[in-house]
Amino acid sequence: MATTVQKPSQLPFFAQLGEDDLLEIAPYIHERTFSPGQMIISEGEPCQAVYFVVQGLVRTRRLSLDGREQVLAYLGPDEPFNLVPALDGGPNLASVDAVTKTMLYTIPCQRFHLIMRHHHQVALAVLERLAAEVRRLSDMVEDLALHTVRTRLARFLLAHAEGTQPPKRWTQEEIAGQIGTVREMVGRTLRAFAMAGLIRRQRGRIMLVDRGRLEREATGG
Amino acid sequence: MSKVWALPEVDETRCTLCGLCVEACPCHAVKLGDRGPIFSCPEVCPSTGCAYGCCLCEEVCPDGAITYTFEIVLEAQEGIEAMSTA
Repeated sequence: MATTVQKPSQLPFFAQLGEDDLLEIAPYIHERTFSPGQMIISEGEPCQAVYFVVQGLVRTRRLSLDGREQVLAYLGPDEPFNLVPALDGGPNLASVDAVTKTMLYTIPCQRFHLIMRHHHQVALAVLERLAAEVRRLSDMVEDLALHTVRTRLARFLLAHAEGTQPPKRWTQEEIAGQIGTVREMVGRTLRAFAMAGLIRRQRGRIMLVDRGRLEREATGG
Repeated sequence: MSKVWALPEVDETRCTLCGLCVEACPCHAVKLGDRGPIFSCPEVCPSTGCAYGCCLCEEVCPDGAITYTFEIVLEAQEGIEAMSTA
């Protein structure tokens, strides 16, 4: 159920706007909540809104016809998604679902487009966000195209152990979706890492035992 | 956290009672119930030296009925938490 949000200044992109501008935008911002596993938007469908995560964790992903998935990102509080369709008028770029109980703020696509046209600070903030996203996705493309599963898995393990990503518990299937492979390969590679003494799996944890060697794996060395 | 058992999740709607998980477990920690595998709790697996985490049951399951979840930590973090709960 949607309810109008009281504080649009809390949203990313709007921090630079004055009180009058915020009052003008406020009626178009709505709050929505989602349960864990609930689908928020589907890839390919017409853009309805731009979304901002207020609480919780969402997952953006692309799916193949045979059911394989590639996770593009996990997004936490203060992070937006579905910006691109709001800019180019095209369909949703990815499917997004709630990983945990999630609260979002939403702005209809056309209204968000108008806001950007009328407020250059918002447009600039959106551009900066998209530039960062292009860098991140470029790194992802390089990873997927040029590095082995071993290297990608080592990087994944290091990034999540070091807390540079939103914390969560992982299944092998989810790890596979994140690094662009299949569950069986993740299992095989984890086993190889364990046998080589790089990790230990125990009681619901993957413990990174030899960080130095994992970092060498992560560089493809 | 190091004292908490992290048993795998079993989707009984997928399990066909093939028994491959029972055969695969090096700790003999799995037996087959009426609706799916049942996991007991060995302190440490004599074959692999680990306690719940080899994931062989998940890997051999042809129906994807068994799923482990893991958090990913540096070994130093595990040591700190063990000291704080001692």
